[in-house]
Amino acid sequence: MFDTKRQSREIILFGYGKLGERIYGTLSTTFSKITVVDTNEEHVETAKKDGCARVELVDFKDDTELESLNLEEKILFCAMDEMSMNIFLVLSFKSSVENTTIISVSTSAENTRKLKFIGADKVIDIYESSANRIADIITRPAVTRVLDEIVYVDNGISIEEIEIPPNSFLEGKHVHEIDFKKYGLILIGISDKELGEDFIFVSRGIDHKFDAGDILVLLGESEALRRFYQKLMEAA
Amino acid sequence: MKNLFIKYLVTFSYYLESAPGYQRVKKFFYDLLNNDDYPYKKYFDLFMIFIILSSVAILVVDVRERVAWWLDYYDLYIVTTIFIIEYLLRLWVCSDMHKVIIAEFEESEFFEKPFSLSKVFKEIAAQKWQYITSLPAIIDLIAILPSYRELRILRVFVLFRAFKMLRYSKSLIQFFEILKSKRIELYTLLTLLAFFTLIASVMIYVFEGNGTNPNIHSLFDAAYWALVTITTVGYGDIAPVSTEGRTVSMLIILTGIGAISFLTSIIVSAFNEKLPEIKQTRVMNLVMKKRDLNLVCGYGKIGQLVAKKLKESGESLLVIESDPSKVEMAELDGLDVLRADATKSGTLLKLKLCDRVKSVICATHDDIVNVFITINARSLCKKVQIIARCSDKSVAKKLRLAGADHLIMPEEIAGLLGAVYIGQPVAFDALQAILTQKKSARIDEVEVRLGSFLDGAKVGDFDFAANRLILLAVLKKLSSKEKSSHYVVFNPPDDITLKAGDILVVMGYSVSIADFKGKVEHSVRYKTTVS
Repeated sequence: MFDTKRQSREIILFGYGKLGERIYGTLSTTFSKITVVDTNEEHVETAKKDGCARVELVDFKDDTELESLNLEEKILFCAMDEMSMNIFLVLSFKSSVENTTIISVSTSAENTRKLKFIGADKVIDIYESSANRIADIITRPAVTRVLDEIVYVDNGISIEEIEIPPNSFLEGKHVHEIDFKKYGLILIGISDKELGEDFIFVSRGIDHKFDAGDILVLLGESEALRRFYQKLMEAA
Repeated sequence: MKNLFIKYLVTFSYYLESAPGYQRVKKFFYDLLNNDDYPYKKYFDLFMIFIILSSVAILVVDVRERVAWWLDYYDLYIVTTIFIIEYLLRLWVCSDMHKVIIAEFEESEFFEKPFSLSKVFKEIAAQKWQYITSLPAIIDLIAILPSYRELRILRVFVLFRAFKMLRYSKSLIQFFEILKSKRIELYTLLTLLAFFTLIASVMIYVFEGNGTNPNIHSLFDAAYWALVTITTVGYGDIAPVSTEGRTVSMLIILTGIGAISFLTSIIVSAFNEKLPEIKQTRVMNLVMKKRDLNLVCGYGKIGQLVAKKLKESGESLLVIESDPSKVEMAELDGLDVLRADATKSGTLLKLKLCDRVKSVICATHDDIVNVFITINARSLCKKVQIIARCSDKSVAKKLRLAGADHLIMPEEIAGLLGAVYIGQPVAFDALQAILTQKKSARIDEVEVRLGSFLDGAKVGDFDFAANRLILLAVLKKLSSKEKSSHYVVFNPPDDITLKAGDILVVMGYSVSIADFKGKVEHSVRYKTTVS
């Protein structure tokens, strides 16, 4: 994890029902600053019992109460069990706060469409994702296994994004000039700010010129990634 | 003398019981004649249908003109011989004679009583007689008769050859099965029709049989007229002439219309009732032709999505669902659906779990049901891949114990995806794009085929970059036996040697991947033709 800016961002998890509880479980393994918010007293109690550091009881329909949570600059994760509540929450965030990242859970294509229309930054359709996974296990078992090892399994291999700092050794170089294999890394793609937020896969064959501010998506062992990151920073 | 005979009989029976050759031959003929799942039965059935049709055709042509001598010869000897052989074979495979002898012998040994020959023969005769007197066997026997040309009346029995076709055609059997389900209604209707026909024929005979109508000479003529009228056929060769006669015909025409519509509705409703069953048989027949089947158990939210995705990627699949409304939904979505309970072992056995099924996907919304399906499938087959969905964490452990290979926990996945997105949004989008394959960049797997240019080559030998591919990892085979035992080598160094059975995981655009796969495929063909 090299992009410390994101790492330190605070997450507010809305909902601690069936869904929220599980999501908290996975989020809390990687992130430390999580605030749990719910309207239901019972849910708030279980959250406290489960050891959540910050738990708030808030009536979502009351905008002033929501604002008192200081939502700005935070990541808002809507994980209420009722989808209508998630839609309502995203709507209130959109109308009252700016500069936030809104993530919402969805249970159907219908809700996903609505949530995206309202303006959620990321919508995670839990059933769609599950179905994708099942289909991948069947149709592309080796690919699924490799991706699992990268994303979920804690074995040192990970996929990381590294922003190129100004005046680094990469500055002005082209993709073909850098032998990433030497560093024990695979360059998967680049996100270039100048060309919009579009993600360029390296395999497309475009010989991209590195600039400061580009985001590299690299795959490799954590140690190799760390060394590469240091080298990048040193040169800068 | 008798004891010696018994001794040889018993020894011979034991010999048959233990002779693998004999058992194999008998099994072969049994399968060929009776086992619908036996692949070659189909060809045998087609052959028999051809024989029957040809013999019927010869007999029909023979009515007015002489057929060629060799056709006559064919009909008289070859067809008849085939029929006789078939009849004898069926008689042979319908039961095991030597088993009866062995059973009697063992019983006599156990109770220390003398071996009873007459009891054995009675038993065997009873078994065979039961077969001989069954309807299909009688038809078979009668179908042999028309070959005896001296009696022309016997030729009528050629029709029985047509009946014999029933044996070889499933759909014809099905039709009769359906009619059979409405037996009572059909009997009632037939009795009613017979009753009205009788009344009408007697009445017309009484009114017009005395010479009033020149066409009615006997009660048979009257009955013929009544039947022609009541079935609304109305040839018109006999028509009532008197007022009384016309009144009678008016009445029976009305009853006739009622009866005919009643008959139609009975048959239609019988078909309607049996429609799901017919569909099921059709689905089963279709599915039985497929290999590497994926069973999607439960057609809820996840089941629907999984089925859709599998269908899109060209996998063969079968949905198993017990809720009729969901079954209908799956049918509308154009999928093969079996309306059954996947927790019952019978359902999975019927599908030949071990031979034909690649994976079982337990996608019902109920964790407990998924556990049951998993146990059911695993207990029947060790090697089938089981993917189970579960919501409750405590159930996850049980599912693992029950034998699920992969667990899908929707809530967990949401959390994981959320975590990845918060931590690395760019990488997340890239992964999403690759996974959902919406953009053309994707990750795919390429197996190192035996004899292809990759087999025995080093990773560095092939320039992946020039081919616009990125080699992410190699899955090396652990042992040669099991397919599943691979270990993953990320970012493999150039000096790793590839062997047949290894799997390369490459990333690239669809075109590059297809091109690469083509190269591997092509090199295999080349090598095999050379060696």
